[in-house]
Amino acid sequence: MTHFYKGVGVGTFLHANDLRINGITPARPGAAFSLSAAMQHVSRGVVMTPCISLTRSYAVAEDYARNAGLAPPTPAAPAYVYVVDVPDPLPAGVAIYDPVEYVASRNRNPVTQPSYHHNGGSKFLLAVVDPSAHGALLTTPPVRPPGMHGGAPAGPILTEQLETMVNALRDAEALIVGSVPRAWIIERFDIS
Amino acid sequence: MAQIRSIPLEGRIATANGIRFLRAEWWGDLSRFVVIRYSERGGAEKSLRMDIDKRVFLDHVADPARDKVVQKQALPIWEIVAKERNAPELRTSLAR
Repeated sequence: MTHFYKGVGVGTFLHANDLRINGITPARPGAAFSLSAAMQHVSRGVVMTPCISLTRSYAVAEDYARNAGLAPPTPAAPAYVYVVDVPDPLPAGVAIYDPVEYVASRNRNPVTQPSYHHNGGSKFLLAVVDPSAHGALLTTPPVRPPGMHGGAPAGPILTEQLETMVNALRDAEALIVGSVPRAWIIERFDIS
Repeated sequence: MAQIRSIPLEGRIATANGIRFLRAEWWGDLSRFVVIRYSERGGAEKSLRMDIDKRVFLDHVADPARDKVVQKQALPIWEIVAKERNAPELRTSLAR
C-alpha cells in the first residue's frame, strides 16, 4: 500500500461529497486514456478526461485544498485533504500512471518531433515551473549557433510534452484511470 | 481568517460574448492559485479558478461556445496577475 493525497478546495466539484463515502469518479469515466488526454489533464487543466490526479506529496495536496477553492477555508467550512491508500497490484479496471514516465516512454526517439527537449538556456526550466517569476525566459530568443539567421525571433521551444513532465514532477503527480473506490480512502484532514 | 487580496480586471480585459471579468482574488501569497470573478450579461458573479504556473483556468463554463471565449482570456489575465500580484501597491485587500 502506498499513500497518495487528494486536495479538495472549498466550493469545488468534489467538495460537496464525502469521498470516504462516495469514492472518486473521473469526469469522463468511459473516455479513452491516451498521451493527449494525459497531457491535457496535467498541463492544461482539462478535467473532462478519464483521469483522477493524486499526489505523493501532502504539502502539494494541502496547498491545493487551501488555495484552489472558490473561497478561503474556515473552521465552519474547511477544505479537505484525503489520504488514498493505493494497493499494489491494482485490481482489474483501474490503472495508475506516472505522467513523467508515460510521456517520456512515448517520446523515446530524440530525433523525432515533437519532443520534450527544448532549445533554451539552462535556466529555461525555471520559467516552466514558475512563469510568474521567470516569464521573460519564455519569450527571450535563445542563443543560436554562429551564422544561423532567419525566422522571426521567438522564445525557446516549449512543448506540451515538456510542460506535462515538469508539472507532474513539481506536483509529485500520479494519474488514476478508473474510479477510486471508497475503501482506498482511509482518512480525511480538515484544512482551515 | 485568511485575508483576501485582489487585482481589478474590469475594463482591462475585453468583454466578449457578454462575459465581463471583474477581478482576480487570492488568499495564499505563496500559492499558485487565484480565483477570477466574472459576470455574464450583468448577472450574478461567478468564479473560475486559475493556476498561474500553468497559465490556465482549472474550471470551464458550461456552454462550450462561451467557454472557448473564456479560455482565450486566460493568458491576458495571467499577464496582468503575474505582473501585479507581487506589487503590493497595485493590489487591494478585501475585508471578508
